[in-house]
Amino acid sequence: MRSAAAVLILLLTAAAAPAPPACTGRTAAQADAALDHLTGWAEIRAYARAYPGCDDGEYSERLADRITTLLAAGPAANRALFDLARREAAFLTFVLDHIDSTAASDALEGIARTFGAGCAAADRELCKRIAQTARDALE
Amino acid sequence: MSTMKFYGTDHMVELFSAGGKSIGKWMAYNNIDSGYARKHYGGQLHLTNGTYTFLDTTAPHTHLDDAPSSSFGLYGILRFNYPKHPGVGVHSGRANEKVAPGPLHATHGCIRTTDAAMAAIKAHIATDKLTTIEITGNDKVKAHHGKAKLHKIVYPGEDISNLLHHKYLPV
Repeated sequence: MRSAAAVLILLLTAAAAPAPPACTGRTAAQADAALDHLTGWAEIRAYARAYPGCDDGEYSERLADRITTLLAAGPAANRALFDLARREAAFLTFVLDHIDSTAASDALEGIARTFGAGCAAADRELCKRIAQTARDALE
Repeated sequence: MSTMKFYGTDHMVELFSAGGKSIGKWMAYNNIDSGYARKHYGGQLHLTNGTYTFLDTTAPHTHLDDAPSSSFGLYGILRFNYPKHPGVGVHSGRANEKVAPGPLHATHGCIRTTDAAMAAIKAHIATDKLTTIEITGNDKVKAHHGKAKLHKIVYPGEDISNLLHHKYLPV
C-alpha cells in the first residue's frame, strides 16, 4: 500500500514537472544568442537552467569550448565555480560533462596542469576531478 | 537545389548541384566524443545513415568567434534536422590542433570538414539552395575502419613528413 502511494506521488510529481522546451524556433535563437555572452560561471549556470533542451550539437560544442576556456585560466581564476559547485552538484556535473575531446587541446592541457598542481584543501577533491576529466579528454 | 552526401566509410563529404553535378568532394569525419556519445547518443559514435533536411540553406549560421581553430572554423555551421539532436550540422574548425587536427577532431554529433570545403560550399549555396544531406556508410564498423588511403590526398612533391608521424593517419 505504502509503495503504491509512493509510485502515485512519483507519477504526480513527474506529471507536474514541465518538460524542457524543445530547442526549436525562438528558444533555439535565444539560446544561440545567449551563448555569445557566456562570460562567466553565473551566465553558464543561467544558460543550463534556461535552455536544458539546447545542449547538443553546436550548442554543446560551444558550451564545451567556453567552459574549457574559462577553466584553462586555472583554479585561482575560477573561485566562482567552486562556490557554485559546492552548492549545486547538478551544475558541477554539467561542467564536467562539457570537458571533453571537442575542446582545444591547449585548453585541456592547461586545465590538467593547473588543476592538477594542487588547490586549497577545501577545493582539492574538486580540482582533482576537473584535472582528471581533462586528462581523460586528452587520451 | 543542391544536395550534400557524407560518406562515412571514405570520410568524405560531397556537394552536388541542382543538376546532380559534383561541385567538390572534401575530407570530413563524424567522430562523436565517446563520453558524449555514451550519454547522449546511446553509445553510438556516428550519426545514423539517412537523409536529413538542412535548416541553413543559403548560408552557414555564423558565430562571433568563428576562426580556423575555433569550434566551427572560419565559416560557421550548416545545421540540419537530425531527430532529437538540435544543433547538429556540418562545419570545420580546430584546424591547428596538436591532437586530431581539423576534420578528425571530435564533435557532439556534427560532421567536421575543412575550411576549404566550407568556403566552396558557402560560395555555391548562395545561388543554389542547399536542401538535404544523405549520410551513408556511417555504421559503427565501416566508419571506424574505412578507407584510410582517403584520409589525405597527397599531391606529387608535397611534403608529407609531418603526416607520417601522426598517430591518427595510418601509413
